Amino acid sequence: MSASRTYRRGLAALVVLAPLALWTASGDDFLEYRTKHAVVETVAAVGATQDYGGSEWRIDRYDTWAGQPPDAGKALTAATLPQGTRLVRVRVALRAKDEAAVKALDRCTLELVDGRGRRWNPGAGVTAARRDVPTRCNGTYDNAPQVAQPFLFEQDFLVPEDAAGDVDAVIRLAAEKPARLRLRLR
Amino acid sequence: MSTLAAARRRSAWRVLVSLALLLAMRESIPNYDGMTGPIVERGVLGEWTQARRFAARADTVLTARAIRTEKTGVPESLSQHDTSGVWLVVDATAKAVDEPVSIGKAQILTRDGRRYARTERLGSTRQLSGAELQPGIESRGVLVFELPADQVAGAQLVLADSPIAILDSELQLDLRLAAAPAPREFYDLVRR
Repeated sequence: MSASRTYRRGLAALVVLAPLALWTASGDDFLEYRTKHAVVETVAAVGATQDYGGSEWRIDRYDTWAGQPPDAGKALTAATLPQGTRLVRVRVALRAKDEAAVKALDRCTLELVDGRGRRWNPGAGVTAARRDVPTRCNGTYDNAPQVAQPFLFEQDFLVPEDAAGDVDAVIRLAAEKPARLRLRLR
Repeated sequence: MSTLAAARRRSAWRVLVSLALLLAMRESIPNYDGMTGPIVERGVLGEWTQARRFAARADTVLTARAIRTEKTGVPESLSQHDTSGVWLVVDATAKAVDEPVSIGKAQILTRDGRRYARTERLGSTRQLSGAELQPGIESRGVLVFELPADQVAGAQLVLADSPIAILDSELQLDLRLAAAPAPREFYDLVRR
C-alpha cells in the first residue's frame, strides 16, 4: 500500500473518529445543556384564554403610559419615568381548576418579552402606592385565588420606548418548567 | 568522518530547535487562571463599556474622609462613617442587555494589582450593585470602596455580574486617576 493511500485512509478515518471522540467526551454535557435550556412555549392570541398549569389564563387589561398614568392615586408614586422609558401595566385574569393548580401559583412569575428576546421583570424602578387587585399570581392573605373562581392580578413594568409596542406577557410556573405561556398583548 | 560530524551537527540542531519550540510552547500556553478566568473588557471613565449581560459607564469619581448614610426610610438612623484610609466613591450608570441582571462583583483594581471589594459597611442603599438592571433602562447609583490613600492613583473599577466570572465578561474601567484627588471632608450618601 502506498504512503499516500495510507494518509488518505487516515484522514477519512479522522472524519468519523474525531466527532465520535467529541461525542464520547462531551455528549452527555451537550444533552444536559439542551434539556436545561429547552423552552416549550404555548402562545395565546390577543384576548384568548389558554390552559396552562391547571389554570385558565387571559389578559384582562394592558395599558402603557409615556409619563405618569392618569389614575396616579392608585397607581404610581414615581413622579416621573426615566427618560426614554414607558410604563406598561398588565392585568391578568386566571381561574384555577383544582387545588393543585392553586398551589402551583405559589411559584409563578409574570414577565414581559419583546421580539428581540429581551425580557423585563416587574416593579423595577416603579413603586405602587395603592391597588385594587393583588400584584402576585398567588394573591394576598385576604385575596388569594380559589378553585374555579376568577382571580385578577396586575403588575407594572418599566420598558424602553422602542420595546413598549412590541412586548408579550409570559407566565412561568416552576412546576411546569420548561413549559411557559406567552400571552400576546398586540 | 566528515559525514558523521555533519550528522551530529544536524542532530544537535534538531535538539536545539525542539527545545526552543518546547520553551516557546511553555511560555505561550496560558496557565489555569488564564484559561478559566474572566474575559476582560476595558473602558475608561465617561464611556459605555459592554459586557456579555450588561453595559456600564463610570460617570464621576471622588474621594472622601467620611460618608454620611442612613437606613432606608429611617431618618433618625443617620450616621457618619470614617475610615483610616479614604472612601472612593464612583457614580456609575448601568443597564442590562437582554435579561434582568445584577452587578455581583464591584471591585477596585489598584496599580499594583490589589483588589478591594465594595464596602459592606454602608449597606446597599443607593448603591448600584444592589439594584436589578433591566434591558435598555439606565440605572444610576454609587459604588463605594474603602482603601488606603496611596492606592487611589491609577485605580480601575472592576464590574461583573457574577462574583466568580469564569469565562465571562469582566469590565475594567480606567477611572483616570493619574494622581489621587484631594479627599472631601465628607460625602453625603443621603442627599446625593
